Amino acid sequence: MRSVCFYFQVHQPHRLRWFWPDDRVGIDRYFDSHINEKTFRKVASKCYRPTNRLILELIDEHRDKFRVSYSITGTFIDQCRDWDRDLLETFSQMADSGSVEFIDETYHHSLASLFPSKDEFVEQIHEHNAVMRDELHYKPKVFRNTELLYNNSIASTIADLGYKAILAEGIEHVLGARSANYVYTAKGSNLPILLRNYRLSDDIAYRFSSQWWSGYPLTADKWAHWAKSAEGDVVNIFMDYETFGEHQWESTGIFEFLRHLPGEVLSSGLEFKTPSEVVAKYQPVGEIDVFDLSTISWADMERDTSAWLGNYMQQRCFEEIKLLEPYVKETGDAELLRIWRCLQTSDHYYYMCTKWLADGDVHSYFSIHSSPFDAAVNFMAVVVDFKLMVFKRLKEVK
Amino acid sequence: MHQPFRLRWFWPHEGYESDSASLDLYFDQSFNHSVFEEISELYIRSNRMIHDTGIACTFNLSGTLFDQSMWNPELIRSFKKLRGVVEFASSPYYNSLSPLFEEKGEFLRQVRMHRDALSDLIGVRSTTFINTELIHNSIVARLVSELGFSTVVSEGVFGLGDHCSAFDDGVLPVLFRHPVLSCDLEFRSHDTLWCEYPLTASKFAEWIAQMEGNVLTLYLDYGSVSHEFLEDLLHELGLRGIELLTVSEAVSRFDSVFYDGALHLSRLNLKHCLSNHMQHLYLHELGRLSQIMGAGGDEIFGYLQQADILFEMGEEKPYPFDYAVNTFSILSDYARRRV
Repeated sequence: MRSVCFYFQVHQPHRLRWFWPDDRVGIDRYFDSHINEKTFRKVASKCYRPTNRLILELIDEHRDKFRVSYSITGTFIDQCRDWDRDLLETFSQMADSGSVEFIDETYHHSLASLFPSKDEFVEQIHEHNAVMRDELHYKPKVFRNTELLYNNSIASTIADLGYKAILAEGIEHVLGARSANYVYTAKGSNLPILLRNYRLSDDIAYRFSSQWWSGYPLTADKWAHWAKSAEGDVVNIFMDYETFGEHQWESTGIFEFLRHLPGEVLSSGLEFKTPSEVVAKYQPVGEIDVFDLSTISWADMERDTSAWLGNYMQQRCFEEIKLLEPYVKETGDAELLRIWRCLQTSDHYYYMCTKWLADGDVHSYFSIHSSPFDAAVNFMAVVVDFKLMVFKRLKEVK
Repeated sequence: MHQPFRLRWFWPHEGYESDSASLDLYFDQSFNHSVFEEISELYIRSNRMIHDTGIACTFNLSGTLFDQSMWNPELIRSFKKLRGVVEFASSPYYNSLSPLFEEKGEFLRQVRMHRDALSDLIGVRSTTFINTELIHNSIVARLVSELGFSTVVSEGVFGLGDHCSAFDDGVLPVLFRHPVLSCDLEFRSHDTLWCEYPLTASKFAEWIAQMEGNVLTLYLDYGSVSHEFLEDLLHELGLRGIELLTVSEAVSRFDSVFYDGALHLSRLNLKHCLSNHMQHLYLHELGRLSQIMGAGGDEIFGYLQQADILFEMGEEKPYPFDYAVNTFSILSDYARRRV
């Protein structure tokens, strides 16, 4: 192995409130700013602030040699603007350091890439691109889709927008006998693809503190040794940023692990690369072909769309939101448009997942609802009300 | 007697692809038709038995049953033949919980519709009112008395319904259903684990004979008791000098006991249709829609109010949440066309 590419996903959704039609107006009619603020502040103090501080220190310590990448969702930035400007400032410092690459995605961390028309998807990418420019003075060149949702037509949309690369999940049934540790290109568009090495990623993100695991306890030098011994050009290590301090609590030693990681990786002879650097340095070795109806993602055991669209409740809710598009847009009402986009955030659909046996525990961990059924009924209650709002407004503007 | 229009498994795109709301868009009409075909034959046979034996009783037919009778006009003819034997009572046409809406206009519309249907289809003028799920309170009492009804049937509660009398709260005389004996006949008589199984007509008649009071009210589903049992019961009651009466005969024959206090009654306290969030929200949204539309409510809006829809959202049902999500989707498709 020659290079390591780290990418962190930073996201907080706007969670819905337990909806009952009352006199509230605007975004507060549907979203629970109290629970959102509480969650944001909790995760900020456990994860975002200490991890950003550590990453900035490591950048200082290792100069240009330590390099990482992030995608930060628009909904997360909304929450920073409301509750923690200083946190946003630390991301700005990363952007200024030159050692961090920021990646574009949809502003609302949405499922819009699964709409039949890509127009809304593209609008949300532009929206994200604009907030990167406004807040971080940064122009991303690489794209990653919500939860690594990927298929050929998503790749070609991204290629048409001029991005240099896209991130996806490295899945055996797509790769066949090939390794995820090389650069590939997308079938049809030739867009370079970086595939996640899910074993080495999940060793940190999921298994780090698992005492049943043969790799436990995981140390930075052990991990660097594994990465070095893997075959290929680059290991792509993609994970939720909340791994640090939130999914893996501070007491597990995750921060100590991170503190020592750059030194151990560099001394093992590996170099850090960001996604654009990876595609600039390594030639693609083959093609990745994912039909639109076999869309892949990084979620759950299935690594497909079933975490969000696996049951009838999810499919109905998604169809309701999808089909509202022309009507919401026809109102020309910016607030309705924003609410509609917030309802596209993948988390709402994830909460409704009923795949209890294997992954349900992860779903319920993230959810404020006591059950996926409550989540679905509550979402649909919002849909009934929001749909009325949209059609009422439409009647007024006509 | 009630047959609902059951909802179909609906997808939002079907709503947007249809220029207007329709029965076929929201309701599973082929299934509803097939259930009706079976049930209407049963009803016709039961009606014949009532006619031949002359069992005095009161019929509470739902408006949706009238609507479905278009599929078999023979059913209406068989009801017509019972005029004089049977008393026909009025209800909200769509078996709805509209009496619980804040605005009472929709409730009144449905009661009037039902009374008109009784007079047009059966040719009778009803004086007894039986609310959906036996809901009764002072507002309902005032409204139905203003509409000209002279008697109401509601739910008995422990300490009240077991007094076998007619009551009067100062507005209207009320007969209280005896919940235990009604449920014995309707449900428990089929339960082999029940300590009183098998329930014979003589045993049941004996229980009634032992009770104090003037009149006992039983209110149950028409299809729940066999013809043989009813015929036996008629005989056994006769042996004990107990007479069968219609509702209006009962209140005119016996003095009512004055009840001084506020009545808030309903069948089983509506536990089966208003116990969870989905049910509360659905009822609330119906009320809100009714307010938005004012007098513009149509047949589909009526069917969306059937209490049966709320039962299916009960958490003891097989798929209450899928059902609720489906139902809310239908409601929102209907509502968006009416704002």
